[in-house]
Amino acid sequence: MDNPKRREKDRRGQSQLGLVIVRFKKNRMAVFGFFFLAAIAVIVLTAPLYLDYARATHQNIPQQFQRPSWEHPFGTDVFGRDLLARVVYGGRISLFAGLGVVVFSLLFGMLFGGIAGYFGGAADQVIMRFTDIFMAVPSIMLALAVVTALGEGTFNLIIALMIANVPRTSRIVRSSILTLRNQEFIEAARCYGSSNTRIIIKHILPNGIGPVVVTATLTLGTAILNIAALGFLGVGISPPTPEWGTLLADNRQNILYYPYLGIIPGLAIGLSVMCVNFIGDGLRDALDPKMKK
Amino acid sequence: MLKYLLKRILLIIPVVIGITLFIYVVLALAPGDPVSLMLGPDATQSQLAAMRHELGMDQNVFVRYLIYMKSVLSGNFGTSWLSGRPVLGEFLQRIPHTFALACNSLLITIVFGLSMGILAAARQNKPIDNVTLVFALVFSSVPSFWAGLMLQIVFALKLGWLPSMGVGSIRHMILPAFTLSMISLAGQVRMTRSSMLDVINADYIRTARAKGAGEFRVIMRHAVRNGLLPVVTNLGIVFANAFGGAIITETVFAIPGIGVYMINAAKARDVPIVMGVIIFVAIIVAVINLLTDLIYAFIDPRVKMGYVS
Repeated sequence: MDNPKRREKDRRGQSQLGLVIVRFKKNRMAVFGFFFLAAIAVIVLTAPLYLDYARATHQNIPQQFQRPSWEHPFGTDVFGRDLLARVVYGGRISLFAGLGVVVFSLLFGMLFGGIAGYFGGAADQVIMRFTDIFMAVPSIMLALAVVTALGEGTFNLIIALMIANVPRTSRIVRSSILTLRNQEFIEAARCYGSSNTRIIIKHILPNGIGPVVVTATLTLGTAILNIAALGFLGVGISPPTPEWGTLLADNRQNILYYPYLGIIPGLAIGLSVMCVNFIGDGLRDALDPKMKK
Repeated sequence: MLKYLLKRILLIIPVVIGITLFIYVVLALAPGDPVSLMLGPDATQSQLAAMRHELGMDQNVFVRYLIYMKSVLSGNFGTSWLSGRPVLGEFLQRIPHTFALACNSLLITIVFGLSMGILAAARQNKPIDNVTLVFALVFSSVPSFWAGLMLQIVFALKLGWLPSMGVGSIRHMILPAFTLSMISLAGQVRMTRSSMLDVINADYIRTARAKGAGEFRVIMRHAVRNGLLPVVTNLGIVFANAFGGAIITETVFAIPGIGVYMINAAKARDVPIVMGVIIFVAIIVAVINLLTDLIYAFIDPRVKMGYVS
């Protein structure tokens, strides 16, 4: 058995990022999650190259409820549409929208949380009261109200879930900055006459980014789940556009007799989110060596 | 203490005003005309205008909000635009179902979440710890509506052990409560484990071991009492989130609670219902948060001292 402490010492010359990657690689589940998710992403992104979109939307009632076969690897649904095409093209929407939610939440969360945490005072008070307001009702309820008001569409869905997520992200960014703000090395940098911009970019960002990256990863997981949940409830994405949640809603009445209609879309959602969670877990350990066993 | 309590209760008011104003404005700015939706395609222009005037829709959105909130303060939550039934009556009729569902799922989360979390912490880095963590991770990745559908098919439709949907008996409650608790169970296990681990490595636990206390006694009498303090806060969040998760669970299991009420109203743009549910849920969540903090202060003498001084 090699001694992890010694291995870390041997890599003393390496950059912080290098160390994080080394630690991440040791977590087998996280590495598995990373490659599996990358594979899903490639399959979904390159779909137009090998799979005709029409197969996902073209209705062919006489062909309904075909069990998985060579012609239809995942079978066909109640309208005779190819389930494989619907799952693959549905993944484009679910994963893309999930990523959009994360990017926007992170952008605004870092902006608001950063201002609140770094400058404090009145700005902090105002921003925190706003997060209180948007956290007053469960996020799925808020997203539901907003998305029904804005109307259907991927972009509106992203906006709705972003509104529900930004307060939480802002708070995490803020608390991450607050723990750093009063530490000696920041004070030292200030004594040397560093500007606010320099302190934020050179000192706060590299040290505070860890929890934010972990939160972003976990947000991706919950965003995919929430998009699917809203799709299942019949809001967000309108038929016949395939989306993972609506796939389950469409076939709900028939799952008992044709189990593959329920199991396959469920696995698509579950496996993707599981990979995201494995990666988030690995990043948490890799970014914060103190947490390591 | 009383002053603190009063301050906290007063702070609920701006939060409720903020969230209701936001939702009201968003719903008002939404594309589509709810009045023509209500009256159907055959309505004439004058009928539409009359209805708009009756609902106050010809006024500025902020004026409408003020009028709405004034009537809410006098106890009138309005009537549904579609069915014409009073929102308050319908809400009071439905809330017991949602409340029972949330309580039962909280109970399941407490029983399984705490025992699994404590077990994992007591056997840190042993196989059972790793299995529990992987289990929690997998559990948190499964969409709850899918889990609900699968439970329904296996335990109700295939095996016939439990009723598949509706309400009525405690047996109706089992599948929905388990489905709803799945959302929070994984987080609860991890939270319990990490807060127990903070305590287990403390000096006084080593002292207890040094004095010859058995492992069971060390964990249950010494570690749990302090280790579970932060867990109380999390349980408040779990309970509050159950009202959000109820939207999905109630849809899957056809439970006539406020979740189904809300989703149907939101789809139909039935503003009085959506607003009513938002107001009630915001107040319920605020009260839960307040109670959580009070319970925390009550069970943790260190926090209690902070209030007294």
